[in-house]
Amino acid sequence: MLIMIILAGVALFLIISAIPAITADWSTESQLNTGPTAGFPNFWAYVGPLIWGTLWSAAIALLFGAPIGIGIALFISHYAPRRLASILGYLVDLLAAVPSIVFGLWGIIVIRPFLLPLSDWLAANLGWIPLFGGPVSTTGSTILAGALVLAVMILPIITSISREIFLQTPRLHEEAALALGATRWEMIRMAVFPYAKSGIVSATLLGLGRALGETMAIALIISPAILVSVNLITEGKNSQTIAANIALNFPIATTLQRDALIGTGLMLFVISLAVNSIARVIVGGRKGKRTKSKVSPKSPGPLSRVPAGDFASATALDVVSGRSSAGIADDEGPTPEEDIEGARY
Amino acid sequence: MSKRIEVNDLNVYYTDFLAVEGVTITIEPRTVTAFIGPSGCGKSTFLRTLNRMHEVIPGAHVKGEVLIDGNNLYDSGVDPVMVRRQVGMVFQRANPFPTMSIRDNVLAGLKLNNKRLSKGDGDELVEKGLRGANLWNEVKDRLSLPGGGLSGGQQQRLCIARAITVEPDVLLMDEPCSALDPISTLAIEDLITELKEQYTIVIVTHNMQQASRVSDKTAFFNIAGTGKPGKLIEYNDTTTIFGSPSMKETEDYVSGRFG
Amino acid sequence: MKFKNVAATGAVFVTVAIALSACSSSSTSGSSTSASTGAASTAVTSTPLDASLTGTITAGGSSAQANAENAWITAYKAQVAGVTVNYDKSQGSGGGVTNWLAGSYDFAGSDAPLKADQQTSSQAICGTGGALNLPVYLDGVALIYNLPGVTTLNLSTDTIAKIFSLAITTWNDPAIVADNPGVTLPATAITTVARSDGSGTTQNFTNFLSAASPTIWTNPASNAWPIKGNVSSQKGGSGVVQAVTAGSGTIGYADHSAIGTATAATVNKVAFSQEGATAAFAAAATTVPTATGDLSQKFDYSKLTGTTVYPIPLISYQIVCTTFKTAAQATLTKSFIGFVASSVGQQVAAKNAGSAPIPDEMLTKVQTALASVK
Repeated sequence: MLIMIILAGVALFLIISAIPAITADWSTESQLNTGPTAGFPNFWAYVGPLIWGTLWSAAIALLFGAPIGIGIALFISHYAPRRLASILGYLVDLLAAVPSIVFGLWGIIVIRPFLLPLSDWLAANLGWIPLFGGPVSTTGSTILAGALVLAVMILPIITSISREIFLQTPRLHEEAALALGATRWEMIRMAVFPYAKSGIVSATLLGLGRALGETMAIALIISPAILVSVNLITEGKNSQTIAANIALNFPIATTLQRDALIGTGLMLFVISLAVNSIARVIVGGRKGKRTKSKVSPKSPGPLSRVPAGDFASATALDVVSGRSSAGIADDEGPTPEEDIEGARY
Repeated sequence: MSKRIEVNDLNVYYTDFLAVEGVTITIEPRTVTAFIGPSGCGKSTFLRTLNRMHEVIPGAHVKGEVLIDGNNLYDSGVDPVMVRRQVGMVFQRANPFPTMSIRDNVLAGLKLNNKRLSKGDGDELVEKGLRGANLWNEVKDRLSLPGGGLSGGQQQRLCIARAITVEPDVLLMDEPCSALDPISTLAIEDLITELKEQYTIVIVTHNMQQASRVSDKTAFFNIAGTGKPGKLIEYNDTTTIFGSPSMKETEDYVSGRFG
Repeated sequence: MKFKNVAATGAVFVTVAIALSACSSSSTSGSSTSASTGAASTAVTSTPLDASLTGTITAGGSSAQANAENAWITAYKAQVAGVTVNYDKSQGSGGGVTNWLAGSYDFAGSDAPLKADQQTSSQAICGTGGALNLPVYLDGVALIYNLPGVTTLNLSTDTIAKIFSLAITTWNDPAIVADNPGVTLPATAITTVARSDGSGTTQNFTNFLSAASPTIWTNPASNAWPIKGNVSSQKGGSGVVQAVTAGSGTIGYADHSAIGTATAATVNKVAFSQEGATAAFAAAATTVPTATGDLSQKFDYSKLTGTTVYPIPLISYQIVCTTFKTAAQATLTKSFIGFVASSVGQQVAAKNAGSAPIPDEMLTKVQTALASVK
């Protein structure tokens, strides 16, 4: 409830502050036809390219970050030996603790020069594709560099959420696949992915939310321009994002320019809210579906979670089977819905 | 397709812990063999070594050999994946893939072999598998619905259909009826009797009536105490085990004085 | 020669002042004496600092001034230990003015003087007298480049305008060749590097371009870089310096005090020097008041010729009310800015922040204007 009030308060603040800039005539208003907001006929012409840049950079970041993040999660949950898995999981979580300004500096000092040869090659060989059209950047401050750093920044959130989901895959489903003669990868496709599908989607959307709002790293790395462009490796055609644009121009903005920047912030707020709501709806749908599906309630968890080496695990299989058969023996026609509610939540 | 299983002096370990010790047993083709014994005696663990499913637990390994028609499952170079395609398994709890339709569940194992199935062939195999599991008449009108929507007994028969559709040599069943009501249990038991015409079947059960009803031979496993390994105590015709067992432990167990 | 003497004593003063901060205040008079006696006879001094003042001055704005502010605050606090000065550079010039207009600051640091409408709205907090823009910080805009094999580069005003308006795109363009007789220039493409954030440096640089080369540079002066196209835009002066150094065939502009080891081109054959910037101020700055007693400066770039005058100076202001809400706060702020606008204060900034001293004549006017503040 308190959250709702705060959220509503923020929305109200953004709307009220933005109205003067949204309604103003940008071509005649002296505060708006100079400085950072010069050259735009109205608010929508200003915010449009910014919305594009925000979505575009986040999309590229997701393109790289989501498969890698999900891959790491899968490696941790289903491939890596326990020790390595816990170290890896710890490292990924640690990545989340790195301040974004550090990522920004890392992007400037390491990633930008690192990508220069690649952009030269792309421009020389694939320059006919609009994505890689020139003139190629000489300083490396491209949207590609920014989005790659962004991809690294969203890795932790995608990895940790998908890892949790993967680890929750009912062991019975995994064993069902293995007993049919599935390889580990086939088992993952048959049992883990279908179970985790909606979880992966919501992890990706949460990563998207993070990417949309990222400010400092983008502001530091990318050489921005307020235009709609798909070019990845140029100096002057990198679509600017809303958050970075606010950070860069707020300090020098005049009153009305501030209102305009707050207006772009309102748009970002709307986009982020939409992304989070979609993620929430998907997660909600997932819960509903899981309740309906007859998932075995007493699944002891994923294979890799079974502790090895102690006595408990030595007889885990028999003990578990014994206990659950005793527990279920007298309730005829088991009602999985209840079982699931009891066991999982 | 039915094959003989010979186990020679098999020890099962979890890392360093010896869970099952010194099992030697020969299981004839086209028979039903029941494993009975108290909880924790290692019968399920041993059952899983027959298709190397115990290996999904980190640290689990065996010493000894398991020969299926003379081929050792544990020879170096034997892929556990290939073993499991020949030795099918049905679990204590029905575990159809919840997001797959009934039809896809039946065909799941075949699709793993990357067989490209025409729709006609697929339909034929689905019907064959479901008829083999005595489920066809109950689900033939809703093949495209999720397998999770069936009753517990139907789900278990769906899992059996899934297991036999890949045409294994041996079918392992780990307490397949423990979660089912008596009517569903009866249906499964009838099915087991039919399946034995084609398959070598090994079933773990806590239900001694079930063992005496469905099995030709029975193996009794026991454990001397907590932390000790499980052992095969006695293995003989089911009628002998339940009628005149040679070991006192077996007699105590089957007569209900133990466990 | 006179200047060099002053610079030397400035250094002594700073050393003393820093030493003082760890010692007792009893030698304060000694250091004041040494500063005043060491400075040339024309040196501008504020009314003697009252070491007994106590209180807090809250200010913020221009990040160009930030290093100088730090030096001023350290030196001032060494003499007036009871006064705390908080200068928030994260606000930038615009934010500083906005917060000051909202009444949160005692003074604002800004790279541009108040605009007419801001001057009008300042009456809400300053009374009918309005506000004063006091020039206290002088630096130059340096043109830094990275062109492997070329260690010295000279650019004329028009060539600079052509390069930054993207009319010239390669380094061996005849216009650049003509500016650099005897230098072999490669055919490398030029990448201009500008600020992506709004900036007083951009404002001062575009002031220069639009005034000194109006036929080639047709864009208005602005605090946001107006050129679209193949421009590398970087956050902050350090971002520009980083991109220029890391790239190849790059050229950018930055506050001279922030360029570090980057190579700077000479402008019309004049290299930046503190003397050159001071001389530029003396030669070309005229006062264009926005209110009575105000000291907003405007450069006549056509006067910035000759071999001793750096053509692209950069001014930053401290903005105060003519009438403070409380007399105590007025006394505190006047004391601090009085120190900043003294010869000693200017030397402190020159030594520690690399800025150029404002000419004494202007400092005298600042002191006079400050005296009128109530």
